[in-house]
Amino acid sequence: MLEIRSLAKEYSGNHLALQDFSLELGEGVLGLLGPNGAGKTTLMSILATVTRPTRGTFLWQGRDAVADPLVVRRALGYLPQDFGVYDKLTAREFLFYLGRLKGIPENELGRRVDALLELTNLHGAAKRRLGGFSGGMRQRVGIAQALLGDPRLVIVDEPTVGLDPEERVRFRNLLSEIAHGRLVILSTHIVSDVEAVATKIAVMRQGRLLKVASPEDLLRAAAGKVFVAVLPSEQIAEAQRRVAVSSLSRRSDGVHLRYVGGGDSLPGARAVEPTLEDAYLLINLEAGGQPS
Amino acid sequence: MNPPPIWTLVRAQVAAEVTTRLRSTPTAVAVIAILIASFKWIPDPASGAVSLAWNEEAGKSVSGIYNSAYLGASVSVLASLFLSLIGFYLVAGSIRRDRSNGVGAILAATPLPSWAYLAGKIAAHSVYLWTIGLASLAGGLLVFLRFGQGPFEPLAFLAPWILFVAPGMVFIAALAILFDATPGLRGVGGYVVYFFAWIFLLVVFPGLTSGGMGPDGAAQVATTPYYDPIGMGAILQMMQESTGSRLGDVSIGLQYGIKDLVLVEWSGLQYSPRWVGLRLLTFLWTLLPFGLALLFFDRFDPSRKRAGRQPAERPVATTATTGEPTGRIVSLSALPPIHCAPGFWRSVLAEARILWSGAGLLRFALPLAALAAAAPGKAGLPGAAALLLLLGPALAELAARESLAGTWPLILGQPGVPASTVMWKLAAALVFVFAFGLPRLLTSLADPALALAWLCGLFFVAAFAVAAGALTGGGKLFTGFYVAIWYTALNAAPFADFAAAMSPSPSLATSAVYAGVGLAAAGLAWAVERRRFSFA
Repeated sequence: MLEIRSLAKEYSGNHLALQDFSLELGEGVLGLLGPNGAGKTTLMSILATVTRPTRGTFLWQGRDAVADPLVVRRALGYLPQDFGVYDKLTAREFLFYLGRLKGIPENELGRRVDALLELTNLHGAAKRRLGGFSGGMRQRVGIAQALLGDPRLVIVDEPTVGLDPEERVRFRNLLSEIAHGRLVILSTHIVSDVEAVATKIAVMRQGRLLKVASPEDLLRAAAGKVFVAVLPSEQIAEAQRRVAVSSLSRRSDGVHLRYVGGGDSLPGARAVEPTLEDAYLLINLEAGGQPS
Repeated sequence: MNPPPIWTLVRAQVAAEVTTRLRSTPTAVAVIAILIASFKWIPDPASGAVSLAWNEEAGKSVSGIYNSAYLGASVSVLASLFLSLIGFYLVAGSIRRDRSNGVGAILAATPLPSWAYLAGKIAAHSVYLWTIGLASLAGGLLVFLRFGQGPFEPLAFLAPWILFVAPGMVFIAALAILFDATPGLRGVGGYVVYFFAWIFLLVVFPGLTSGGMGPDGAAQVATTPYYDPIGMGAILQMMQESTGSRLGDVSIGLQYGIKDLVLVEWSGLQYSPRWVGLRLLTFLWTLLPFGLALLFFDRFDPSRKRAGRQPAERPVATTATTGEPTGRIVSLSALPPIHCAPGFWRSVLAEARILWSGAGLLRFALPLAALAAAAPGKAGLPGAAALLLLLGPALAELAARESLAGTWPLILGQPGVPASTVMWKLAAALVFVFAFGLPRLLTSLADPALALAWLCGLFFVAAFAVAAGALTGGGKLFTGFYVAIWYTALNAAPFADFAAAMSPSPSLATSAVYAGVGLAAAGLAWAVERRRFSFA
């Protein structure tokens, strides 16, 4: 479906936001993970044909989308990380406007807009002006517009920011549902968001692709490299300097410190089954990232 | 931790605001404009044109040689007029910007009191306007180097600027804050209102109440200009005092082709304590817009907005996959597949419709004005003038909407948005203006020249609005210039009658020139866009 060939983006001041990024993707959900500044948003903005790459190209269904952005735009549903809305329009008016720009037939537009408002739980606010919407409600308007045109390629950048837990679950389920026959690219730094829905995970750092694999393969690769040590509180600060800590929890027998990397780093450490978050930390650590 | 002193907070605000504005393109344009205007305002003394003049008893026109005092007074008048109008549009919108980018909410959660926030804004705007105003002094200096006579006297050159421009700009800064803080005045509607406020409250009213202006300029009696923010009344009276002429014989403004112009060595304005005191009074007047702004300022609290009518909440629905549904169940995959057919004209119509949806109260006024404009003959002129005025605020932010609202990322990836968004916006603007201009067009077809001139005028409005919006990312430049042109045309100036609908002697040639200007402006915006968004 999507073939990315050596994409690079250089901003002024020789800042390389994306370097030699290549990837081939079929249908399913790709979870794009990486720390802040990894280049996720730049990559997504290029794939959404909003930003032009400095070098490289990408093909959608075998056609060069840098040379002809329309091949992607006709198939695209895009939710940017930062976007605004027109405060004086109602949610329904705004979706009608974007639906017309997508070319949805007039006789279908009303039905689709209403369905999307229902799906994003905004039906009760459909006739309210967007200026009075909360951040989470605006985000849901963004999600609704991304799915409006029955897109084959869905690119969502940090989609769950501002959503409450119930809405996050709803959105993840929605992504799983629409993934059949489509390619969904989901960027986030919240590992649990991709854990639930991704069929493939790509980890980025400093504009480069570090690893791409299925969640199962990532977990297998991390097996035997995740440990838990029980330490008294006063040793925690020292331990945090020595290892890449995945999580901390205080219990009656001490602080349970979960970390990735060298098993013999802390006394009494025992290997445990890795989570996807551990696997992600491990990839970053092996790529030269700092212990958290 | 003790909160920082208010002065520190205000100083930080001034630094941030002024730095941001000084780095903007409109600042560079304003500085270049005021430099050019300085040369135009103070022309070659041998050309028979002057900007400050008075009449002798013998009836001859007199002006001063270009010494430091004359040039200082002349550039100060220019800066006061230029910056009180254009400067307002440069600084207006800062509270609106803080509101939209979220900085306001952050500031509202700090110990910064509302009065200090507004005072900081006024201080920042004042510093910025003074900085821009320095360009007028630079222009004056260049003129002095070219045509100046006598030694350069810094005090004589700078004193008028300090007396008129410095306090005047503080008042303008406070007015900008009042407009920004007041519901109904913030935004494009307020920009239109300000133009008329500038004419009547800053130029005409102070002139009339100080006796400095009146019908035919004759037999006026000077009254103390207590209210005179930009000093137009004061400078006329001070010139009268220093030249020994009658008040009605003093003139400010460019005059061309004066025969037998006498140039004398004018010692400049006389700065008595009375005049200094009256000019300082402007700072007290500043408290009026400041106080009103404080009254209307909502401190970025959305709950203080006027509550809109809200529909009753319906039961919450969930998707089929979340479990425990509490309302209607909807699944995206249950919807039939659709075949999208994006296209240029469909996008243009969508844009024109959104223009209509966002027009607010203009949705009532525009159709009425369009119908009134269709009245045959001279009966249609008031309606045509009203329609042309109303089209200004309706179109002002059309091409800047995405920049102002931050919707570019959503819009640029849409298949129906053409490669050139400028051409897309222009087409939508044309659909909009021609929809309302059509009734008058139909009733004026009997006079093809008039009908064609009307079309040219409508094209000019659309093209100029789109070009200015695309180039500046806002609606202020267009609103300021457009309303100025409209008002000039309304005052029976044939050269400004861009749609052949306001002056007694409309001309197709004039309208064609304006249409050409609109076309050139749109072409410039298109060329700039090609460099800015190269992914198309």
